[in-house]
Amino acid sequence: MSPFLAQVERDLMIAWQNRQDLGVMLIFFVIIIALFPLAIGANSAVLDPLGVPAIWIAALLAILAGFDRLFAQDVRDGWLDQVSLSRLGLGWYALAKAISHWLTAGLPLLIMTPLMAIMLNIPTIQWPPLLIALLIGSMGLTLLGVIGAALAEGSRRGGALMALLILPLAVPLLIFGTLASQSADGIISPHLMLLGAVFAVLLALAPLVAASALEIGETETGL
Amino acid sequence: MFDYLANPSRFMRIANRLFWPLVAVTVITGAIGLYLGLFVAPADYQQGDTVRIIYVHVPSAWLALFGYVGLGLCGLFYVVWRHPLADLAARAIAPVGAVFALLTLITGALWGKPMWGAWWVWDARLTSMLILFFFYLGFIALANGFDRAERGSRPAALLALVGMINVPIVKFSVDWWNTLHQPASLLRRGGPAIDPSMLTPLVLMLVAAHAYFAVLVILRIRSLLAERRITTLLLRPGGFE
Repeated sequence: MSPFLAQVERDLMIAWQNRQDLGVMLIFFVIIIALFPLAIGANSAVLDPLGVPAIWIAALLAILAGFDRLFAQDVRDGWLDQVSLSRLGLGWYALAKAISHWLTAGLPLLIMTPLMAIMLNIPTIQWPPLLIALLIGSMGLTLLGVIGAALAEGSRRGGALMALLILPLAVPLLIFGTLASQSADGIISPHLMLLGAVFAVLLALAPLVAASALEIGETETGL
Repeated sequence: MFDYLANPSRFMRIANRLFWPLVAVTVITGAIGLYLGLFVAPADYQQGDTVRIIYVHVPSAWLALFGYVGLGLCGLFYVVWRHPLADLAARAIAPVGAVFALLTLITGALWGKPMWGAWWVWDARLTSMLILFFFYLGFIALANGFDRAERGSRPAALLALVGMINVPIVKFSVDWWNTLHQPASLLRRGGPAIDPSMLTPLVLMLVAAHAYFAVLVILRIRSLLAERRITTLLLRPGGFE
């Protein structure tokens, strides 16, 4: 098996051992969505147009909340040192982390979304654009989260700091994502294409930035 | 040129030589610009005296963007050449840029209340300036978020580089988002040419603001450099700790 797949498999196995965390993340997602009607009121004329944005904001927060300590364990137990010495390299390692994190956070969230869509009265005709936009958007958010986690690794206030770094940069994903989800002209809307373009930029950028940030983190902790 | 300026003490010698002339430029152009802008320039026929806020608002907005470009360039220099001065410059620029971004937002709100009837409108320009302000705050928090100050340099420089790529995308997406929801733009873009009586104070204020920016950055680099030296002295064997 290639080192890349081995890394993905390892992270998936660790995630399976801590599968309770997955439940916590999903409950967090559902609770944020449930807070919207509570704050806005049950009036469906006001609430219905807010269904898609509510799902997006909940997904954004739930995905980013899971990134708090993405690399912490690997730094502490020396796994990161082994990775940087191995032929896997830190860039591929970061990408493997992103993939396994998306499989254990983004994907369950996506599976959960139709249920939320029913609760928020989103018409079924809007489901395909919503799910496809959320699929690409959640992958983009995962990559941003990897950047944020790598930059903030070893800092004093990991979680809050990460949110401050990542949320301004997540604006394009949020804007194009919500627009693509609500698009009236079919699934492949211009907004979806732009969302895909932002995702493509992040896909190229995230492993490089994460590797560069982790490299310094790794040498610094050795001091 | 970069090699020449790479030596911190040589850089500081040049910066110190430029310091007082820059202060003089700030004071002189600022005083003349403010006088012309507040007393001599005519009030706008539509906006009345509120138009005078542009003499503060426009320079602030320019410098908020200027500082962000500076931050990105410093990030590039730091990541590629690991240049300690680039790190110091970025740390010096970030709070100054953040304050100018905040000043842009505040003066804009002061102007918006009488003109638009609201302190804040979710217009594309306002929103992207707000996000730029958040980006500055994130940079400052990351650069100072580690127990050892130098440990934050590399992540902060990388963040500045990511911002260099991403903030234009943010700007573009916010424009897109706004134009779909609000067909009529409230801000005139490249409207009619400004009358010389208003342009002269504006240009003077722009010059003053840039000089002021340079003065602040030099002051901050100086104090950061001194801070580093003190830390090294304290950590040396036989130091106070």
